[in-house]
Amino acid sequence: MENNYNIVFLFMLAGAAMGLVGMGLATLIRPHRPNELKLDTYECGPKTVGKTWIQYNFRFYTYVLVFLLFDIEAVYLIPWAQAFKHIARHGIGDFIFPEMAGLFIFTEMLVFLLILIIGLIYAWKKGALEWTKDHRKIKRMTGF
Amino acid sequence: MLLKLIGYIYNQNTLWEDLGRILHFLPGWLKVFLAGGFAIVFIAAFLVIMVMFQTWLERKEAGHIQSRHGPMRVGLWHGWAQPIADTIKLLLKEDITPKACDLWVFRLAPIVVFIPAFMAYVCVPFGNGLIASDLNLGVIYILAITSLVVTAIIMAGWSSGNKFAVMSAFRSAAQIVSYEIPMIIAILSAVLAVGSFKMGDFVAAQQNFWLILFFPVQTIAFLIYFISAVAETNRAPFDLPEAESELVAGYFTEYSGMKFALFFLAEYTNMVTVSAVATTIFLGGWTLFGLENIIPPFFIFLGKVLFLLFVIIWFRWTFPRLRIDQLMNFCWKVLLPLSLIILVLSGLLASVNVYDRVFDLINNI
Amino acid sequence: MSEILKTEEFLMNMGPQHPATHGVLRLVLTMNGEVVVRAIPHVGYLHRSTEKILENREYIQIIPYLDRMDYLAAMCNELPYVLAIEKLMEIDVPERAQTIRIIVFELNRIVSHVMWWGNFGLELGAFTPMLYGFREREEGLNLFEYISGQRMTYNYMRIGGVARDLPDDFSERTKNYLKIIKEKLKDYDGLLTENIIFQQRTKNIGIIPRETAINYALSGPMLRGSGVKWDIRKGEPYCSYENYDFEIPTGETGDVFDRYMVRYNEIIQSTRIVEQALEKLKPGEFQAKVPKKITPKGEIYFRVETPRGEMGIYLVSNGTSKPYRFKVRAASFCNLSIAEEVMKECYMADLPAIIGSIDFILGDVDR
Repeated sequence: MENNYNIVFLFMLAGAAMGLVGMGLATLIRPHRPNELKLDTYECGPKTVGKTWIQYNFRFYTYVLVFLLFDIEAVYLIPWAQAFKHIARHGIGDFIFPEMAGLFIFTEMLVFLLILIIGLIYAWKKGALEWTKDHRKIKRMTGF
Repeated sequence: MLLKLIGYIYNQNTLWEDLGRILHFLPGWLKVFLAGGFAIVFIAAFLVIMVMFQTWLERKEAGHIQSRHGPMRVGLWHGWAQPIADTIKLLLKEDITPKACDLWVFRLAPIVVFIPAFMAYVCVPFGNGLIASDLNLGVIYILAITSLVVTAIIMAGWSSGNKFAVMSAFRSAAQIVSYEIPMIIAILSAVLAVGSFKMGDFVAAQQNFWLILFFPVQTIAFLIYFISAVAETNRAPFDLPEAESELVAGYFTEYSGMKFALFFLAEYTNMVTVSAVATTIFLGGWTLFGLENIIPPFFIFLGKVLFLLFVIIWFRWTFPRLRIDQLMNFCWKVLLPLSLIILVLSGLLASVNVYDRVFDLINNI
Repeated sequence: MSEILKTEEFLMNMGPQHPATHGVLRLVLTMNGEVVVRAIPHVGYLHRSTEKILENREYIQIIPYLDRMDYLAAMCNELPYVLAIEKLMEIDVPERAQTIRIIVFELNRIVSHVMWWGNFGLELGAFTPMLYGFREREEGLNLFEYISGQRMTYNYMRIGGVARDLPDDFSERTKNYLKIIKEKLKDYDGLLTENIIFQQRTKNIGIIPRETAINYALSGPMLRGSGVKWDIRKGEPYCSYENYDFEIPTGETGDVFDRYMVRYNEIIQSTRIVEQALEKLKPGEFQAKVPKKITPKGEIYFRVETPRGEMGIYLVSNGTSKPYRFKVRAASFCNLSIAEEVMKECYMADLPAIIGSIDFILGDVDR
């Protein structure tokens, strides 16, 4: 089967249908006898104390910033990787010969990558890649 | 006639051509629908059998690693019917929806977790021509779809209203998102060698020489991909979201019955997915140095996938678990710089056409 | 802005019904995200008021109750009691009985540590060590079953000796067992000790400085892990431990890995002691002549070094057939007292490792 995106949609429907059918089938045959204790939240025996849905510091935002950076980098790299082989073989138009084309676009991407690698080193040195548990340090970095 | 039927087993492309010729009178959309339907039925059956087999394999392997037998009772031979018994048990389990949960999100999460796990199979080449749709962005599609699992995990963890589940969901998000980057970059360095995102092209290029054999560049790329994939599927030693000694059962602590089964199914399906992608991209897919003309290609593919699954299960029963900061350090300070170096090396090799020359050389022998 | 973006701490119960808390310990955690700000252990879910029960039992009836406190090292629990009574009544124990006591005591240490090793792996997420630990423990339990008829609660020690003499081929079987243990320790090295993930998970967490360890009255591997070279077997020898040649393994920094290594080396040292004891085993009486009525008089505190640390029996006796006051200083209970101190500001994932390194038995903590 060749490149056909309609099938992706069919698969999505089928995936949902499989989940629904499984759950529906179970509804027909499973017992249903809820009681107060069963419906309690599990917290190792005792009753839950306080709210569950609170704001807490997961120390992930610095990673997220670096992640965004690299994810976008990957997005730029994707077309480069796709076109690379073709250009390395056939060159770009008339003005870059095939013998040099590969090295040329490789160097281009190398510059781009180097900037990012420098960025990574900067983030590393700055301590953005530390999953620190020191409260004061976090406070100094984020202000709250 | 018989020869032709046997021929279909080795080359399903001809099967599709013949079927297309026979059914030429049907409108185009119906053909797509029929082909899609056939693919869905095949893949769904494949997955259910694979997941069942995996649960059996996992238990047996764990048993033998731990100097015991694993399940031996159900069914006569080495407990082969254990997964069937488990399925029946899960179907008959009471489904408990705790009071504290966010009802609709809680109900939706098991379905949402399963959809991307299933959708990833659109462009997995099971055999020669045995692919639902060879998308021109296949690799990117699979990467994008598999990382959607994190949405469902967050939904499940957050809606459960359980503190363990919430913590587990955030851990999972941090982990899956982080390990995506080394994974993408490792795959991109393989893409440089083949010059296409089509899964079919990957297999075709590796007909006689697998990518992993480009030592050391692609070998390391494979290892990076494999490690990140194990982390993406939340398997040990990266199973922090399900760390039973800390977070009980993680994001599905509050799930029971069929909903739990769907999470389970999705986890094992994802394991098959990452093994299948690793097989296709680095291990030559359904090819085996010409042996695919003797052994049906589907079984070659299956063998490779099962080998990788075996390794993943082996990991789980050998290693202790990492801690969250070590997990992040490993991703950002080891895997990411390493994968960038591999990408540069791979680009260098591709820019002087080393890959093509090696492929051509081997193909001409 | 900071009003909206505030973060909150939350309370979380870990235990009593939790996979990692060794039974029914309850930890109330104050969490800040992944970090445990404070952990307060709550004990008492397994309290059986053993001490009070024992005050209403005759002296011979007490021994089986002691088995049920630290059920993984029952032999070691019986010993301080019988030694205390023997000291009060000035009974001379025959040499063979002494040697037998040392053999079972050290075997029990091996069995207990081997199982601890397995469970410690489980707490760090490695499932396989647990079954390996249990496998070697089973072999040890076979030996105990061979001499006492029981696998967990032996009721083997008697005032003035032991309940039964050793069977003829016991020393052969024991030597065989020690050989197995020494061989399996290599497996243990490969699975945990030398594993880089394991080392990263255990080094530099749960550090107990030397001073803190002494101030909290820790004992056993917990104390030795912090670098204090104190072992009652050397410091206050009982059962003629002074005649045996063994070393006291100690740690340096007092982190979880040091405590792991101390216990690991104790297994090796215990095999050495058992080997020496088997050499010294000579035919003879295994039970002293003991008066029909056991009515000791006086007050005594007698302590021994169990696998978990110092176990002491404080006994006040007024000359009747029942103790007037019976108090047990349980090693697990005293060691657990440091939990709150050592679990401050650690990761959630470190909790199981620290709990595991304390190595408490809830039966011993709650009594």
